[in-house]
Amino acid sequence: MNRPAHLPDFLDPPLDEVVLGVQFSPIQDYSSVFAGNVHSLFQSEYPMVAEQPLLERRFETFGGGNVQAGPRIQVGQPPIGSRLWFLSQDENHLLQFQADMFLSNWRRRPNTQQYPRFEGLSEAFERNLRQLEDFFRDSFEAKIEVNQAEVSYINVIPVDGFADAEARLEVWNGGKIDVESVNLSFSEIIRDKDGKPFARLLHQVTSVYTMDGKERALRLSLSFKGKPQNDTIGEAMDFLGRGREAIVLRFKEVTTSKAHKAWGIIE
Amino acid sequence: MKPQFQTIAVYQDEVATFDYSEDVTSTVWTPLSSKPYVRGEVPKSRWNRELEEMFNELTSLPRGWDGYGGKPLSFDCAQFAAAVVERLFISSLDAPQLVPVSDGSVRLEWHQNQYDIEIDIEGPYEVQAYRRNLRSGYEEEIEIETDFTALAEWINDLSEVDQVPQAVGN
Amino acid sequence: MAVVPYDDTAIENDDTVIRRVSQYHIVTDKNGAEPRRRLSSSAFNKSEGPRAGMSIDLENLMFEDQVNPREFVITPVFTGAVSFCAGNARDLDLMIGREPIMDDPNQPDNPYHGEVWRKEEARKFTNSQSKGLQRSAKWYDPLDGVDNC
Repeated sequence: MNRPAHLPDFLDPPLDEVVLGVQFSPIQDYSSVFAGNVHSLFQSEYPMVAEQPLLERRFETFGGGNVQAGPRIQVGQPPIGSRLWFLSQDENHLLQFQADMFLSNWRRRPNTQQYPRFEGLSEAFERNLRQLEDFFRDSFEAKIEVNQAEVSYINVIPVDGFADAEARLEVWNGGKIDVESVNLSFSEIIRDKDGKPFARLLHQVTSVYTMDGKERALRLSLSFKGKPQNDTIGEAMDFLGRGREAIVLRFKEVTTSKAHKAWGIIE
Repeated sequence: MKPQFQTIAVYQDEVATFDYSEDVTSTVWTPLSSKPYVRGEVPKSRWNRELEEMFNELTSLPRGWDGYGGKPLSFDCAQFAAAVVERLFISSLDAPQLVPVSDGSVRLEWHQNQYDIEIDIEGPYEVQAYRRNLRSGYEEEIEIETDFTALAEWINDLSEVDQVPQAVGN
Repeated sequence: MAVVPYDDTAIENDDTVIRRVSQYHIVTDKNGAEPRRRLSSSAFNKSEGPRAGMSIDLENLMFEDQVNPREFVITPVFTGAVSFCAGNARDLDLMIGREPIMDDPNQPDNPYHGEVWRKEEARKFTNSQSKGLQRSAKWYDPLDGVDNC
């Protein structure tokens, strides 16, 4: 898979984390007793395991009178179990698994390493997802039916002060305000070629500090979430590719040319 | 009426990242407050508050609840139905009635103001809706995946109360 | 599903077909002079699976075995029941046939069980079919205070 030539590229972007994920219909006969079997699929690359609370299911729907960003809806008998983290030895790579979701994370820290690029992450994610589907098919005669996919890029942009955001972000003009904190979000509806909405591009800017409080940064998160064209893994991967494209283009739009130079934009 | 919750900028921060989970002890960067996120409390609509108990009941139905082999409402379907209910909510209208279907799906129904509206939630992004206008006798059906705009217009029409209710003989 | 869908010509058009209904099928209809409780047409739909049908009980088979149909259909789960004629289903382009249930872990044995099927694979009956069955149905064992349609 080659990087699309029309996408902006940077030598050293402030990219801190990338998340690829799919949500699927719960596998009927799966239960947490099989968690060890799932981990064994990925153990050689992700030897460490941790448990986390379940992620909530989400559905990107559109239209209607109630246009608030969707509240967390939890109805019915909730699924029992937990979300499992499978962590790589270097702790830069993570797989997240629960009975109805599978995600892959890359982060720059703790061992600072070069971003392996979307193409590499995407190929690995698809390989791992198909491995999981093979397990479901062999064990439960079930296939993964994807109903939601997401790709997120999280950037951490160091600043001297939060009022400096305007030097980095096109969406901000703090002027001479002594800004203590920043918390900004908005979403854009993404439509297909027939004008039908199928995804959202979510933008979030938050002020963050290092643990010792001495350094400040802006956390710029861009997330593309929605329903792939059908429920297959192939279409989910296609959706993630489209999301990546939207995110990278939008990243260039919402950041300043001064910041682009600092990040080594490749013209 | 005084709102229950303060309206603030809310956002969807459900990106399942390394650092912004409940445990932030290992993170290098941390948000301003000691808690992982300032999250706006977005209340459920009145409809979903009223329907919560019924959703719980329908997902707990025993196999064979219909006298045959009927399945309980699936959790997947219930979640999506609740999301649809939330999206369609109009404060001037009663909540829909929930009717379980033997195959584990659910229907939302309204029968009032000279309309019948029936919305079959067959699964995530698999919705079929039916409407009959009792004044004109006109019927229509639509299929919906993600865009509920047309359905929202139906609900809006439904919410416009007749000034002079007319009895319709059966 | 044990039986491939078929139309059983031994079931005559005038034969009574029973469909059990549940309290969960009741809706309140505020159209009309007074609000009333009635059955939803979703009570007249098929089970999961493209070739699955709508479960019914065949009255004649019970009479042959000297079984009281009203008692049989409302046990073990208390439900109400409606009935229609086999011909009503056929008029809606549906098929009707026997499908006895024996040794099914999900249901008690029912040698009088039958199915109403669409002629083609489909997820549900059409709206016309469901509502057509609803209009044809009369109470066999009524739920108190509930209209059949």
